[in-house]
Amino acid sequence: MPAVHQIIVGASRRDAITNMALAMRDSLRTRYKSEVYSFHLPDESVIDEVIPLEKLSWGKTNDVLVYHSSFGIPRLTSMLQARSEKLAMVYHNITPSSYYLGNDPEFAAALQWGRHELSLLQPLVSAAFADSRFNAEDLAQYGYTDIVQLAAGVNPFRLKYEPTDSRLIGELHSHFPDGFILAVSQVIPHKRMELAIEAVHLLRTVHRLDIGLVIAGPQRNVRYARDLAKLRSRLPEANVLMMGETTESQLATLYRTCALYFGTSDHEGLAVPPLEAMAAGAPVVIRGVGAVPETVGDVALVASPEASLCELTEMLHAVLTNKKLRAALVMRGREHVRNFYSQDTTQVFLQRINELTS
Amino acid sequence: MKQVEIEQLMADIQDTIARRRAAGEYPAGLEQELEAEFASILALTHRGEADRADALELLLAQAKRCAPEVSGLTPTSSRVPFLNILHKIMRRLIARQTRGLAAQQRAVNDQLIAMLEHLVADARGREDADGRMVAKLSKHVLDRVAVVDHLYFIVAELETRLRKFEAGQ
Repeated sequence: MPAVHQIIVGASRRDAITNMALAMRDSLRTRYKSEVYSFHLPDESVIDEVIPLEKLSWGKTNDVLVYHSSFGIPRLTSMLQARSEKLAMVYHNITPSSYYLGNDPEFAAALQWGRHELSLLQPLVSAAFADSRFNAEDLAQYGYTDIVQLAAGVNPFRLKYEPTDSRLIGELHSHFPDGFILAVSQVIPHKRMELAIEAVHLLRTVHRLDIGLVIAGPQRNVRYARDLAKLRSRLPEANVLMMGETTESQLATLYRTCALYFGTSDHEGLAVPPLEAMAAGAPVVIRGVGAVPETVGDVALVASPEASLCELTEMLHAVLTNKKLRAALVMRGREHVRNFYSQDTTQVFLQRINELTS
Repeated sequence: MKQVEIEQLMADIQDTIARRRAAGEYPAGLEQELEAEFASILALTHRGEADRADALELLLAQAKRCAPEVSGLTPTSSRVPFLNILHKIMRRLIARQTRGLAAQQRAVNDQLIAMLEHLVADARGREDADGRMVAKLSKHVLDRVAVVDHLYFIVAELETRLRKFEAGQ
């Protein structure tokens, strides 16, 4: 039986790419030997499911390595170049390094290497996948052809059976008795969390709405987190709660109890949190950048990437105060994610892998 | 939602914004002011420079860490055989004096730390006040620019009316 193993850069249950890889592994195991390997040591949440990359043994020439590209690590690039297995790539997009040149040059260099790596690996890749049209177009610029566009392994309903954290509900109610807006993302510069803080500041000061903001996600960039803390101190009206990294149960609770989900990012290869928010019944307001418009369709209130802060604030205000609009967004959102999930993308993925192994 | 409904909603939103701007609920330069506020915060980060308050806070943390370590006792180990015994004897002989000196030094350190704490709070307050002042001044400048803009349109309208009036004459 040939082996089809996947390689990811880092692994955590809260990471969308890890979840996608694990879901794809389950499908691959119906026909192949299949494991998920991580370059960085896997987080405790997936320690039993993901294996450190150093333990990957040499494979045969008809085996396949599926590499999930989202970052650049020179050591990993040379390791992939030296392997004898066939190589498949799933492209999740690489954030433009310009966001990090100023405040995290090492991270910026890794992102730049990621894009360089796309060119280096292109001659070796036998099958290319991209999880959105936006990503497929981006990948095509590096000479890749026959890119299969599919969001294999994305399950917006993954939190459906997570228990609600009643203690967190109590805390949220004491912080925000009249509700809160939710932003879910790593707290890094290109996610533009300052826009969410400023918009909530305007909702509270101009519209006199007693609404709060919860930002849920790990603070991966110390300087940016400090900048946001300063902004919060200068806009005390904004009423923000930075949750940091959450458990799955806490995240499910936040989606279920928020007044709406707000996406402010400048760059998205595939936006999973708004889909998860829709699956939990939250209306979505989001900036239409990268793959966002194709991912959320017309069931979210999508702002143009150039939308001003006042426009974003008014859109939030409309969803918060117009019951008919809210109901339409919630109902259509659920339907949209149901359709999204019902597309059997893993079968398309398996079929392409079969062609490589046969 | 149909595309038409979304387009209608977005058009309504644009109307609301225009109405609120005219009513002064979204004052002239509001967005630029908020943008400038965050840009000024980011600018410090991007240059890799620590704030004065941050630098003082770092010194304070180091001072707090080192201050309790002043004990008045020095190590007695030596590479020369048996010299450690001499060091031990000497340390015992003068321990009363060195411990006294150390206590005095710790008292001075406590005063210095208290002074640094005041300086950090002062620098933090000043930085915030400076930031607020810059934001306030920028807002005034943008308000004036908006007034000039408004005056320009009034003058242009007056000129048009005057031309029509002259043509009628």
